[in-house]
Amino acid sequence: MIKHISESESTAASKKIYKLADTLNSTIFGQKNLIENVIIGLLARGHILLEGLPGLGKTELVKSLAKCIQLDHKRIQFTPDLLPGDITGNPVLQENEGKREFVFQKGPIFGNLILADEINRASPKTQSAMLEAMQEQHVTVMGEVHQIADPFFVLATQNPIELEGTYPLPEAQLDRFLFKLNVYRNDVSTLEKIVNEREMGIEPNIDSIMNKNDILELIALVHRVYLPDVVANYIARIVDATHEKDPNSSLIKFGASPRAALGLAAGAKARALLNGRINASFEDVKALAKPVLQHRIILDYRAKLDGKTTSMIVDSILKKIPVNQQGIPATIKDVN
Amino acid sequence: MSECTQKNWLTTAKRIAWKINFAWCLSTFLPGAIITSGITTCLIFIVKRNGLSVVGLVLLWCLFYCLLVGLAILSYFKNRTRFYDTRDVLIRLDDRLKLNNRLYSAYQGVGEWPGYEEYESSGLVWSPRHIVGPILMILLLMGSAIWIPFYISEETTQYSLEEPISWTEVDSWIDTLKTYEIVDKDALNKLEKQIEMLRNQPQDSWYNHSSLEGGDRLREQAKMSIEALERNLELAQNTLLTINQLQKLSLGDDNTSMLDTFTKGDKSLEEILKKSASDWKKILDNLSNSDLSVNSKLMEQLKSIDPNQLKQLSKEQLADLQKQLAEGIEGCEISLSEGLDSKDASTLLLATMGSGGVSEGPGSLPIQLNSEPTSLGSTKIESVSNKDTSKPILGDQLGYIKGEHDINPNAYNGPANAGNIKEMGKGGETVWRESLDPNEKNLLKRYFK
Repeated sequence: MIKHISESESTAASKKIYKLADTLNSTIFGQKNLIENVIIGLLARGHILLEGLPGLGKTELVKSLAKCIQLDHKRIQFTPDLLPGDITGNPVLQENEGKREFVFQKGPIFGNLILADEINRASPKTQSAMLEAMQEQHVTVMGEVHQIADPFFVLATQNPIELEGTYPLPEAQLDRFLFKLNVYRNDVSTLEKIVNEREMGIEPNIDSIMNKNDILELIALVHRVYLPDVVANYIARIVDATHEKDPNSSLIKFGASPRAALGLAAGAKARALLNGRINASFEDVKALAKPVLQHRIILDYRAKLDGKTTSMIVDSILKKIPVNQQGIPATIKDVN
Repeated sequence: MSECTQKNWLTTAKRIAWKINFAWCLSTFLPGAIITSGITTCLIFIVKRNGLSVVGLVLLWCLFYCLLVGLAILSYFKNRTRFYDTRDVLIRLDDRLKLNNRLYSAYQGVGEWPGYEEYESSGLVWSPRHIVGPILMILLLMGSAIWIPFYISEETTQYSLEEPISWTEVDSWIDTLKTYEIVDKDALNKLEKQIEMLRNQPQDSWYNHSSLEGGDRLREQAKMSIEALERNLELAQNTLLTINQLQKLSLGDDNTSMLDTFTKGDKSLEEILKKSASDWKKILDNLSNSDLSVNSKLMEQLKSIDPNQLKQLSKEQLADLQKQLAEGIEGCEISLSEGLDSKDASTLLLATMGSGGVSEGPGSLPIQLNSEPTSLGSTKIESVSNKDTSKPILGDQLGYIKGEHDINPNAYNGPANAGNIKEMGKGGETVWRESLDPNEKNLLKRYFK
C-alpha cells in the first residue's frame, strides 16, 4: 500500500517546483503555461513533443531546463541522412591486446535529458530507433542491451511548416510522447521584454535550482499523490469517449490508447503536486486532457474536411463528459 | 475543529442528497399527478352529470388520494437508482466549489476537510417552472372539479321528440270521425289503442324501421277503412234514394221519364226493386262488418228500414236518414282530406320526393321517354390537346428544339484499327459525379467551395 503524500511534503515540493518554474520564466519570457506543462511532463516521467514555429524558444527552453536541473543533457539534430546508429551508438572494431573485438560506442541517446530537435526531419527508420529507448529506457545493439540512465526524458521539437522533406511521426511514435505542447508566438509586451533583456548570441545566465536526486525525489512524491477513484473513473470515461461508437457519424477514426489514460493520470498527479495538493482532481484532468490526447486521436476525413482539429474534438469531449455521472432532475436547477 | 468541519460537511451533503432525491421523485410524481387529477376531474364531472350520490363522489375522492399515494411509491422505486448518497454529493460539491476533490479525498480518509464556512451553498435551487407550474395545474383541475357546477337540469334533459307523421295523421282522422259521430266508438277506440301501443314504445325506438313500418301500415289500414266506410255510406245513401223513388213509381206516381230511367233493358221494375233490396242488405252487412262500423244508433235505424216498405217512412224520417248518411260521408271526406294524400299529386311528389330514409321513400322519379333520342355527340370525333405543359403525361409532345450536336467534324480521332477498343473507361468529373455516394459528393462539393 502506497503511503499517500502529506500536506507538508506537498507544500515543500510545490515550493521547489515553483522555484524551478520561476527560474525558467525569467529566461523564457511569455511561456508560463508551456513551462508549467513541461515541468509536469518531467515529473510524470513523460516525454514531450514541442511543436511550434522556428525561433519561439523551444530549444532554448530545453537547454535552460537542463541547466536548471543539472541533468546530463544531449542534443540530437535530426536530418534526413541521420541513421539509427547515430542516435543509439555503434559497435566499433577495436584492437585490444592483439585481439580485434567490437566495442560499443554509446550514442547521444545515453543522457538524462535528450533534445531531439526537428524530429520529423529524420527518416522513419531513424525515428523508430527512439522507440525502444523512450519506452523501455534501454537500447539493444547487436543483441546486447544497454541501459539508459535514470531519469530519462526526451524533449522533441517539430516544425509545423516547411513540411517538404519531412517525415510525419508515426502514430506509435507519437503515442510514446506524454504531452504534445504547442508553442505559440509572443505578444507585443513579451517581445519588448525579450528585446530589452536579451542580446543576440549571448546565452543567459541560469542558476542550477536542483539536481538529479531532487528530480528523482519529486518523481517519487508524484507517485504518492492520491488519485481518487472518481478521478480515475473520469479519466477512463474521457479516454473511452475518444472512441466514437457510431462509425457513420464519427469524426474520430482512432481514439486514444490505455497509455493515454495512464499518462493523463500521471500528469494529473504531477499537476496536483505542482499546486501543492495531496490529491489529483477533476481540474487537473481537464487541464491536461488536451496535451495528452490531442496527438493520440486520429481524425476521420470528414472531420478534416469540416475543418475540425483534435484540439476541438478534445474540447467537445470535455464538455460532453460530466464530472458526476448522475444528473439532476429538472425540478431543481444548478445556479452558477 | 476538524471533526466539527467534517460533521458540517456531511450534514450538508446529506441535506443536499435528500433534496436531490426528493426532486427526482417529484420529477416523476408531478406529471403523473397532473394526469391523475385530470382523469379524476373528468370522472367527477361524469358523476355530477349523471346525478350520482354523494357517496359516489366521496369514493372518487378516496380513489384519487389512493392513486396519489400509489404514484408517490412508484416515483420512489422508479428513481431509486438515480438517488444521490453522501459520496455523490461530495463529488458534486468538489466540482462546483472548485475544491479540487478535497472533500472526496477527506471523505476517503486522505487529507483534511476544507473549512466549512468559506464556501457557499450547493447552488441547487428548486425550479419554479417545474414545481409550481404542475402544482398549480393540479389545484386548478381539482378546484374545477369541486366548484364547476356540472349538473344538467331536468328541463334540458326532457327534449320533445316529434312523433312519426303517420301516427299524427291517424290521430287527426280519429278526431274528425269522433266529431261527426258516425263511426262506432269501440272501433275508433281500437284504432286509438293501436296508435297508443306504438306511442308507448321507448322514444328511441319510434323511428326504428319496424315502428315506422307499423305506423305506415296502420295508417294505410285506417285510410282504407275510412274510404270503405265513405263508399258504403254513399252506396247506402244512393240505394236508399233509389228504392224510395222506385217505390213511389210503383205506387202510381205519374212520372214516366223517371220510370224510363230505372227500367232500362229488359228488367222490370219488380226486378230492379228486388235487386236494390238485396243491395241494401249487402250494404248494411258491409257497414256493420267493416273495421270502422257505423255507430249503433244509425245502424239500428238503417237496419229497421225494410226496403220493400220504404214508403212507410215519413219524409222527415227519410230526410233525417239522408242527412246522417251525408254527414258521415262528409266526415270521411274531411278526415281523409287532412292527410298528405289529399294534396294534389305534384305537391305530394315534391313533399316526399327523395326523402328516402327509414320510411323507404317514394322511390325514384318516373322515367319519361322522349320520342327522339338525346344526341350525346358520341359519334363525333374530336381532337384533344393539353395546353397545360406543367402537367404533361407520358407521350405528350411539349415542343420541338432544333439543334445540332457540337461536334468538330475535323477533330483527329487517332489511328484506329478494326477491332481495337477506342475508349478504356471513364475519368475525371464523370467518376466523382457517377461513382461516389451522396455523402462523398457532398463532402467534395464542400471542400471545393
